[in-house]
Amino acid sequence: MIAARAKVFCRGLDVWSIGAGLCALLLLAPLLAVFLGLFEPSEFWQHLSGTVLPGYIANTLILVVGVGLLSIAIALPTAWLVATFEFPGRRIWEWALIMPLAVPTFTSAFVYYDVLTFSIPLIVEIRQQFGFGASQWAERIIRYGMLMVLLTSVLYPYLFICLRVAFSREQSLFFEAGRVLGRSSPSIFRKIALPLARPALVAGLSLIVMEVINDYGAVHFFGVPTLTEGIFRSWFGLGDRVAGIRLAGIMICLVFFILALERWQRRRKRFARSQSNTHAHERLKLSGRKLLFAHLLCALPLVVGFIYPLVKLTYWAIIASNEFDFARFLKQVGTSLTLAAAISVFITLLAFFLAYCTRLHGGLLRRFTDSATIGYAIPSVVTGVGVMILLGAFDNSAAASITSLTLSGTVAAICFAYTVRFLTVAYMPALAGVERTCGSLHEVSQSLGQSRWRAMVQLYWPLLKGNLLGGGTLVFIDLMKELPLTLILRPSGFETLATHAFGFAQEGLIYDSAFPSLMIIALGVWGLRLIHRYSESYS
Amino acid sequence: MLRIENICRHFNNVELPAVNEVSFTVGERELVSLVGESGSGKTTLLRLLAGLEKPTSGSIFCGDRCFVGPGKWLPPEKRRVGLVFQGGALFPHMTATQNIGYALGRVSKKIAETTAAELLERVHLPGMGDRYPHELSGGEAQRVALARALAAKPAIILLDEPYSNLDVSTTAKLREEIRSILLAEKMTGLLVTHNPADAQHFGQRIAILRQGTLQQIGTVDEITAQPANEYCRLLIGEP
Repeated sequence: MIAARAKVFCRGLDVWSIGAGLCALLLLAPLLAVFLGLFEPSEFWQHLSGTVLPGYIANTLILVVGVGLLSIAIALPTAWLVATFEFPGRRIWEWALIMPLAVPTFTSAFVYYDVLTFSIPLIVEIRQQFGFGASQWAERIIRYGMLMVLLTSVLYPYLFICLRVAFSREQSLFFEAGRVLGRSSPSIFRKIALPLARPALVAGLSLIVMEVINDYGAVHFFGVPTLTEGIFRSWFGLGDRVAGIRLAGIMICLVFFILALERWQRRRKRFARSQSNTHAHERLKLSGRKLLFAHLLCALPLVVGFIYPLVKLTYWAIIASNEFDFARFLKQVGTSLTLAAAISVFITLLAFFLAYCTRLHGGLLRRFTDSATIGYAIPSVVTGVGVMILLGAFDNSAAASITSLTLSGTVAAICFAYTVRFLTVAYMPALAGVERTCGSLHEVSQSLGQSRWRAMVQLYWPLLKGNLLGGGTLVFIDLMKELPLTLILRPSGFETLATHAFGFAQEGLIYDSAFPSLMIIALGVWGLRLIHRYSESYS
Repeated sequence: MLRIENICRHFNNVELPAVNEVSFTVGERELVSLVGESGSGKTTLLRLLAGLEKPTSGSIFCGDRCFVGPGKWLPPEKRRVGLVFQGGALFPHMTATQNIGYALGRVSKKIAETTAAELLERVHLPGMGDRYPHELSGGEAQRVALARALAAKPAIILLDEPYSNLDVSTTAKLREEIRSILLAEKMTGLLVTHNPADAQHFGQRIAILRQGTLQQIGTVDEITAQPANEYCRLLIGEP
C-alpha cells in the first residue's frame, strides 16, 4: 500500500512540483525554526511569565478587541451605504474611504500623540478629586483609547473593502429576494446582509487583528507593551532569544485560537452564494437629511484617518524644510523604492509560479504551498525571529565557515524575510485568478501538444496580469510601510523611509519625520489608486 | 388581476429597448407562461413586475392597485408579489424553516415553525425544515423557494426559469408539482421560461416575447390555429 502510494507520488514529480516544493519548504523554514526553538531552555522565561507576561497578553487582547469593535462600527455602516444606496459623491467615497490604508500606524501615532496633552487638565482634576490611583487609571484609559482610535482610523479600510465587495457584488440577489418578500431595508440589513457578510467580516477583522498584533511603532510610541513589544524587549533588551521565541509562540496560538473559534461557531452554516445575479440591482436613492447624514458618516473616518494626519504632516514638513537634510532623504527614498519595487516584482513572480504549479499538480503540493504562505498570518516580529534563527544556524554551519559567507544582518536576510511575510498578499489574487479565470487551460494546451512552459507564458500570464498587478501593488505598499522586520534584520546603517521616520520620532525630531512619512503616504495613495482603477475596469 | 400597459424598459448604452411597448393581462387564478429565447426581455419584464427594475414608461396594475404609472412607483416590498428566483435564491445561512419564517414577518417563533412545517408539507417536503440550502437538491430548493414565496401571501406568483439547472426527470416531476400546488392554492401565476414544452405545460395561456416585443398571447390551440407570425408558428404552433 505504502509502496504503491510512494510510486504514485514519485511518478507525479517533475521540475515544476520539485521547484514549487523546495520554494514552499524554504518559506516554511523560519516558522519551523521558531517552533523548534520553543523547547530550548530559557534564562528569563520564569521571571517574565510571573511578572510582565500577563500584562503583555492583556494589552494585546484589549487592543485587538477595542480596534476590532471600533473598526466594525466604522466600516459596517460606511460599506453598507456606498454599496447599497445611490447618492451624489458615492463613487468618490468608495475609494476615498480606502485612502487611510496608505498611512502607516506609526505615522498616525506621531500625529495624534500630542492630543494626549489636552487630557492633562482632566487628569490633574481627577487626581485632586479622587487621588493618585484614580488619575493613573484615567491616564491609562485615555492613552489606550487614543491608541485604539488611531489604529482603527488607519486599519478599518481592510474591513471596509471586504464588506463593500460582499454587500455590492455577492449579496444583491438575496437583497432582492428580501425586498420581494416585503421586508424593509433595516430588516434586510439585520437578518440577511449582516449574517451573509460574516465571511467578509471575519476576513477583514482577521487582517486587522494581525496588523494590531503585529504593530510595533504605534504601541511603542504610546508606551503600551504588547506581545510584539515584549519580544523586542526580551530578545534585544534581556538577550534571551528563547523567551522571545516563546512569546512569538503565544502570539501564533492567539491568532489560531481566534480563527478556530470562528470556524467552530460557524459549524454547518454556509454563507457563500451558489448562484449569480446577472442583473445589476437598483440602488435606493438618498436625499434630504439622510443624504447629509451619509456624507457626515463617510467624512468622519476619512478626516481622522487621512486628512488630519496629511495636513499636520504637511505643516511639520514646512517647519522642518529649512534645516532638513534632503540629500540623505533622497538617498533613503532611492533605497526604499528600489528595495520595495525589486522585492514586490520578485514576490509577484514567485506567487505566479507557485499558483501555476498548484494548478498543475493540486493535491499534496497545493496543501503544502498553502501552508507555506501563512506568513501573513504570522506577525512580522515572529517571522523576523525565525529568519534570524535560520540564518544564524546557516552562518554557524561548517559550509558557511569554509566559504566565510554570512547572511545574518545583510540585505539578503531582509529580502528573504519580506518574501516569507508578504508572499500571501500576491499569492492569493494569483491563485484566485488561476482558479476562476484560467480553469483547465493547461490541459487544453497539453491536448494541443504544447509544453507547460508555453501554457504558462502564453495563456496564464496574459490572463492573470491584472491579478498580479493588484497583488504586486499591495505588496509594494506593505513593504513601504514595513517597520518591525526591518528594525530586527537590517544591517548597520541601513535605512528605509519607515525606519528613517520612526528613528526621527524616537529621537524627538518629530518635524523631521514628516518628509519620509509624507513620501510613504504619497506612494501608498498612488498604489491604492492604481488598484482601484484596475478593479473598476475589471468589474 | 394583473394588467400591463405599454411597458418599456431601455438600458443605458443599448440602442434597442429590452422591453418594448408590452401590454397584456393575467386573469384572477389564471396561470400564464411567458416564453422567449435568451435575451428576449422576459426576465426583465418579470423584474419590472416585481419592482426590481423601474420601467422607462408604461403602467402596471394588480387588481385595483397601481404598481407603476405616470409619476407613481411602488417599491417591491409593498407590492405583495411572490417571486421564485432562478435557482431559488434561498438565504444560505438559514434553514428551510428559517427561510420561510423570514417571509412571515414579525411572528412568534412557534407560529413561524408551525406555518413553515405546513407549507413544507404542501410543497411535499415534510420534515425537511432543519436543512440548510446546500443540503437540499435542486428540485427541493426550488420547492422551498416556492413555499417561501407563498408564505408572504402574495397576490400573484412569478416564477423565473424555475427548472433551469435541473435534470430531465426532476424537471418533469417539479413542473407537475408546481402547477398542482398553484392550482390547489388558487394562485395567479406567471412563469418565465425559454422552453416551449414547459410553457405549454404550465400556462392556460402563453405569451410569446421576441426582442422585447410581445408577438402573441393566447391558448395553445389559438396559437396553433392562428399563429401571429412564422416565429410563433415555429415556437408553439408547429405540430
